[in-house]
Amino acid sequence: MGTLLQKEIASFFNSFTGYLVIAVFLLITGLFLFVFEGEMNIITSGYASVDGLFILAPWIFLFLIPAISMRFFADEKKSGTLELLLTLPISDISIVSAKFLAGIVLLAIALTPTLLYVFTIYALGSPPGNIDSGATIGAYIGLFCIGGVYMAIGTWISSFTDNQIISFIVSAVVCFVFFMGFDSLATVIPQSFKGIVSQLGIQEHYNSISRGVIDTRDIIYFLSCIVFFLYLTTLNIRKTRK
Amino acid sequence: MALFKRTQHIIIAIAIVFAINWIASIQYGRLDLTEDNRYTLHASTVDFLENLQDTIRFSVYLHGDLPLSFNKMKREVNDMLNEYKRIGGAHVQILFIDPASLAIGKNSIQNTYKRLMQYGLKPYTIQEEDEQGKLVQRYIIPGIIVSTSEKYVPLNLLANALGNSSEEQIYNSLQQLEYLCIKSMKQLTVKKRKNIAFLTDHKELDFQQVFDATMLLMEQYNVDRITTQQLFDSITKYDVAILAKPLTAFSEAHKYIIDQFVMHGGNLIIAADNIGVNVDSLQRVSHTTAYPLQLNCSDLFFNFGIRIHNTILLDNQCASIPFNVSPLGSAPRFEPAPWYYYPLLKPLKQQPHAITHNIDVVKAEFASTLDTLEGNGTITKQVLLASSAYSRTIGVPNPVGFSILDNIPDKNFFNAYYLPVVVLLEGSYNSLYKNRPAPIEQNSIPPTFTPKFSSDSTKIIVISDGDIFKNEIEVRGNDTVPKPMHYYKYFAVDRRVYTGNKDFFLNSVNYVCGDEELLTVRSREMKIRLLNKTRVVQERKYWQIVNIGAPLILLILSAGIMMWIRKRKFGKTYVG
Repeated sequence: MGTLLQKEIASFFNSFTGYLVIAVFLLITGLFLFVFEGEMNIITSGYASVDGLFILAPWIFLFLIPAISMRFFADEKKSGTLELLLTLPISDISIVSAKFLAGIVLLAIALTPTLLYVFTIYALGSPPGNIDSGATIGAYIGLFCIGGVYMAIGTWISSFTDNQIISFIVSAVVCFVFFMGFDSLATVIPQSFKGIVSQLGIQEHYNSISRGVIDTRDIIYFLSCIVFFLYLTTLNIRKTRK
Repeated sequence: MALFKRTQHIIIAIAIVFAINWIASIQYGRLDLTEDNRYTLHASTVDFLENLQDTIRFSVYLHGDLPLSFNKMKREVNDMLNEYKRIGGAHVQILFIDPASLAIGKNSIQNTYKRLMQYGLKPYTIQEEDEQGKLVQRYIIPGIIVSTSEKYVPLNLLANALGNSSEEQIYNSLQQLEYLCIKSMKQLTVKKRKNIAFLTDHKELDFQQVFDATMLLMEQYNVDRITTQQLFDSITKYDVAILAKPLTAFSEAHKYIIDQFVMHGGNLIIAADNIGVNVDSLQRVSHTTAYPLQLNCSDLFFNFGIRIHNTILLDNQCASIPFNVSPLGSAPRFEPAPWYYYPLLKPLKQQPHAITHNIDVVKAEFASTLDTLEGNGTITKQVLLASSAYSRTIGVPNPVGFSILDNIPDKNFFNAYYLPVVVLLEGSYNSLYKNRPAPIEQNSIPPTFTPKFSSDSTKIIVISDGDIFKNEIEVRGNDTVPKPMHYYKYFAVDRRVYTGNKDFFLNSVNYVCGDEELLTVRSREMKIRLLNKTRVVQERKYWQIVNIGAPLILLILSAGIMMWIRKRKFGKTYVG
């Protein structure tokens, strides 16, 4: 499984696309947080917090994560290496989790440069260092939670098709539905179901963790979503095997 | 068949996911990683929300097109209300309303604001540049209407929020948010308001002088201004009686009434100077004489366990006044000078108490000092506020005046330390008139009255200064306008806003009324986290370039290294 993980990460960086995806991510985030006027802009907000990043992330992940996950199975299917992979003495679960974990490592790599934003706030604070590190750490955990769910969805979608473009677009749409869709649905259905329906969505759970409040219910929600979609992926893989 | 089996698996998986999340929702834990626990509600708030009977609706008008700094405020308000909803369930309703959306058809936006103002919300003026770069003014409503099916109270988020910038103001008001919310909810749900009486027949502070204090109390309590005889007529009606700077002597009958008020379960706040200083004459002449006041209350206070001394407190930690430093005959030039007669009181570190927790200094004016004595009953005594480590008392009669500013007092001048000025007494008292005849005429005794000679647990706060909750009064032509309690007329040289006085007063009243949970919520503190504005303006370009450029350069560099490694590994022929 370790080898599989390594191979997955290496192949991401072997292609130009990998760098491009991360570059675009960092560029857009940087522009929104430091240049464009708006709610996300840290400099004009006057507050010593990186809140903007955590508001922006669920949106920008909609593109970043499908771009990482789109090739997981789609690529293997297209080049015909999936059959080869399946003949190896590795369980389906190991294959799927290796791909998923590789995605999380890539996400971590993409997020590492954003620590510079935190440092900027740290340096510009009045007095310097006036940043709530606890809240920031909590919010970063939140980024991995929401990123994890997106990644699991992306992995699942990519197991359906051998076309990376389709995989990318469908993943982005499904992630969006999971992020916002349930909340929107909750506004049009009868009052008594509102609570439950909005609880299904990611946003409801992301809100508190992005402020630095870790609630076991939110963590369980994220973990169970991840496990669920990865399970669906293994079901898909098993089908290919037969 | 395979498809059927797969569907079965998926359904089971969904069921398991729902089951796990359902179990998690029953038994859960919450960890607030913020340093000041800002997203954790106070235990008493949680308790209140859990026991909510009525349905409370929060209509938030801070919505729509808002300036950036207010967006944060809105987010935080939303977060906190959602937290309420999480605990209070269906008993809490939240509604965000954009005032602009209420202005349809004939109902112009101005009318909407007018209507909201009639409800008690205060609009906040913001200045913005429009597309042509012209400054335009518009209003937003940083307020909430908190309502039940019968009543409503306005909640102004920016009310009394002090600060240099709108960001600071917003932080300060967010700090108060939980308190304001819980206070409004209590106001709506309280079944019987407590009654508070200001006594008026010993030349106490008049209505204008305690205007701000009265207004503050009226948000939560019924406040009356009554005579001592009226207090006697309905001796159990009032929960708290306030003696605000009495100047004339108490008759034996009045002392008896106050004694009996306490015996019947009443609580007291006594703010009494034992010395008189004609402050107004100091406006005209350089010194005046401090004289002892004859309040005739020593035996009553003694019975409570308190003695107020005939002294004036001087403190090195004090407010400033403008002092003319130019030589005689030339144009006056004023500089701030320490006015030792206006000490800034602080709680003692060894004796912390909820009333004084997290409050700012409390300004007193010509205060006396006091001592605690044995008292008559089982009483616990606690010093709430005291002078600083460098203080001194002088006896009266004695001249007081600006001559004290002529020389800088040396270290030995302030020869006393931590002199108590405010004391809280709690416990059950025995009556001063236990084995004595009642000094009161038969015809003034109300028919329902029976004397009691010992009290249940009551609370008494004694302040040996009459001015702590007095507000200044500004004279504008023929009009007099009461200023807020935190305002000091020499602000221009003193540069301090005495929110401590207000907090201390409200906390005291809340405490003696038994509303302790309000003061623990009020004293909560949030750390202000702002960016250094001047640096942000000066170094904006630099940080923009660093934050966009550096990550990209890093990425290109690592890409280059990877390429190089790969080339070395696989030779030139490899094509990715």
